[in-house]
Amino acid sequence: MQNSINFSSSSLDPRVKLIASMSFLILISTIHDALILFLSFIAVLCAWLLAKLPIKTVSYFFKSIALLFAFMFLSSTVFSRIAPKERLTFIEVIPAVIPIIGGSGIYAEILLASITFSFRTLSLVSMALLVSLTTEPSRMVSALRKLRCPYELTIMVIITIRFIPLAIEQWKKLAAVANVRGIETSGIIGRIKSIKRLFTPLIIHSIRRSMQLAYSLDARGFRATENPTTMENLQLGSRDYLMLVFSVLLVALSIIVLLEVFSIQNISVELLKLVV
Amino acid sequence: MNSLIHVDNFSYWYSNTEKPALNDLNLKIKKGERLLIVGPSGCGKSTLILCISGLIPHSNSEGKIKGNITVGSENLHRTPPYHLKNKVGVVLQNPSAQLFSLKVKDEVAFGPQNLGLPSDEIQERVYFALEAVEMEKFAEKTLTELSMGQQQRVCIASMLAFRPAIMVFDEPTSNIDLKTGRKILALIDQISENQNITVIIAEHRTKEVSKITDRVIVLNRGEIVADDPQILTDTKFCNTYGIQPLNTTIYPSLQSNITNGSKIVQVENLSFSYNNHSVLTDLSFSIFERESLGIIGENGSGKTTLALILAGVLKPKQGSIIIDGKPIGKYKRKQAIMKIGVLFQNPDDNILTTKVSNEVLYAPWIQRLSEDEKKKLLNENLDQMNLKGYDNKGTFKISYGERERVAIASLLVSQPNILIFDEPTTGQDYKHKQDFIKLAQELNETHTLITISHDLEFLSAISNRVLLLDSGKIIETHINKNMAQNNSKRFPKESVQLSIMEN
Repeated sequence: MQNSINFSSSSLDPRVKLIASMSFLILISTIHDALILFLSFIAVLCAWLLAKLPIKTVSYFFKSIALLFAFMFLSSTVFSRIAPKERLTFIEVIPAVIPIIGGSGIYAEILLASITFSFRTLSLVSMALLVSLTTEPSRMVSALRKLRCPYELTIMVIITIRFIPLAIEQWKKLAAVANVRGIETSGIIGRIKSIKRLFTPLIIHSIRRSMQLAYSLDARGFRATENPTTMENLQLGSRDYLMLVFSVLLVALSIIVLLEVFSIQNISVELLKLVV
Repeated sequence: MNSLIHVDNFSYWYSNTEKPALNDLNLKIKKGERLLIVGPSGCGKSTLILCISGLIPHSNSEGKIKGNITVGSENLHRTPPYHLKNKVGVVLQNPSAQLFSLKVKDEVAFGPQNLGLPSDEIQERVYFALEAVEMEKFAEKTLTELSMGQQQRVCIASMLAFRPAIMVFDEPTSNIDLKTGRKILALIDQISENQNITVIIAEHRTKEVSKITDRVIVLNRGEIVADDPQILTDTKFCNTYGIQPLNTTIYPSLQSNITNGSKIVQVENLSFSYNNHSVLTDLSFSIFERESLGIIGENGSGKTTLALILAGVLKPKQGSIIIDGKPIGKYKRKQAIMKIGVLFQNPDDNILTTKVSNEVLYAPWIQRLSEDEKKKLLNENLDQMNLKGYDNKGTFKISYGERERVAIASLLVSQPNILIFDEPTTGQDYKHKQDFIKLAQELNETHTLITISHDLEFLSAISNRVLLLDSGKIIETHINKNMAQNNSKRFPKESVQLSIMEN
């Protein structure tokens, strides 16, 4: 996936991207209204459009995001409870007469709450994805370093990302070995069983691999000095300052919302009541 | 004080061992010298590499050290290799296990970053190092996209970025075919020449490496038994220590010469593709019962894929494979392993458990055989593989060769009639190759063998017929060494040509 992405050199400074997405996170955590959160998700979508990522990448990630949304929405709708007095019942899935699990149904308030919850998560996930897809890993490391994130931590993150394809490769090898020892690894049942059987060998091989990696890190002078530098020389441009101002505005807006200077938290509920 | 590296009465013990891995070594290495270290597996080559590169004791400080190693006027045990005036760079075995960044340039920049250099100097060094290994066009590539040879180049570049005075290599050409191996050695030669770097290489491929080195030491049981560039021409001496001599290589030759009889494997019009990329195209061949067939081809020619298809692990897109009168797809997994067993490249990857007895009894355990049956199978197969008394040993605590035999035993418990060996000797010493051929000889009396390798010399010793695979197609179905020597020009692939002409 990552290979097909062309990182644009004119993109924002990764530090600014991190700060901006952090202020966005603060803002949408303070908002509890479905309509506004939906609008914020649309705003993130606009940012995706502006990023001009390859269609293939976009469709791949949005399929996953859609799946996540469907799962969160359904589960929170069906399994949430609400006090009987307050609810506007649409459909009762499991009648309240059945003890313990009874009382599940689709209620207007819960529907709203699920929409709120799902869109908040959705905005966050797609924002984070956008930032990681449009930032070159080495620039991100440089940014984290400049933001005083511990060096060991940034290296660990990089190694973890890099390790995933290696672990998959190792898994395939082990599956083939298990195969020639008589274990069926294809089909759903075969796959589930092979997870149980191959997990321990995978861990053993990973530990052995990590020991080799330790040599390699040490040979390259890992922690040779107190202050390792970075290859990328990050400098803020005018667009970066603009974005920073925007981030400050976002945080200011969250404070206004928190202080309840004006009420935006109930717009959707009021609208709904008008309709019903 | 003409020499750059001084090893003085140096001994090293790994933790919890009585016997030293290196025993009272004395060695002086001059500036600009190119040293080749040879010796049988377990002779202490890799330990010496780790000690000279300073990884022992700066990365692994568990063992015990006696004596000194000095580089220039600095003691290597006090100063880490990257802080020395004459820096030591090290390239270990298996490049893919050493790389950890996402992109080539990040990997190379990692060292200079750790030294705390300013960013423009880091960029300059990255460019310089990548140019030196002819990889400057790959700076923006992801490491997983690169071939083995290219990954090895990145490993070298990431050390060059330190501007080392000494470079140490542990088996730089193992796991890669002859052609790529040669290019890597030519590169090392060029780097050493251009930047005046002292080079130390530990290798099994003496024929290749000795061309670029000017001094040879032979290690055995942690001691230097010879220090003489001419020693590799002494066939008798080399055979005593299991080193590949320069002039002649004598492999025991396989006795059986079966070229007819009943066909145990029949492959017809086999094609396989992976992600729309064609790996095997229209292969047809058959293997006779108790034959020993070799399959030769370069890295990436589709050899391993073929092995996996023959064993029924991968399903072909087209074509049929008949094993013992029945299509392989018709066998259930449990039945298939009684017909065909595969030993994968690198015995480490063939290991699923941590105890020898569990490893050997893996298939019987899956099939829920009774304890008595399992015990009988265990004893029988450990005996056959010369592993008597190994039941309770740890699979990762025994030697490479022993681990390989454990892996073979774990296949033999299912009593297959066909055995496939995928690159059984890559990166292994001469003695291991000889031992493996002897083992194959014994197995061939009762089994049909298929051996996959990129080493024609080894293949022509182990098999009675060699099949040449090139970019997923069969080019020749019947080559042997003598025939090949006379017609080497007929073979299109450079590496096969080379390996034929060399021998």
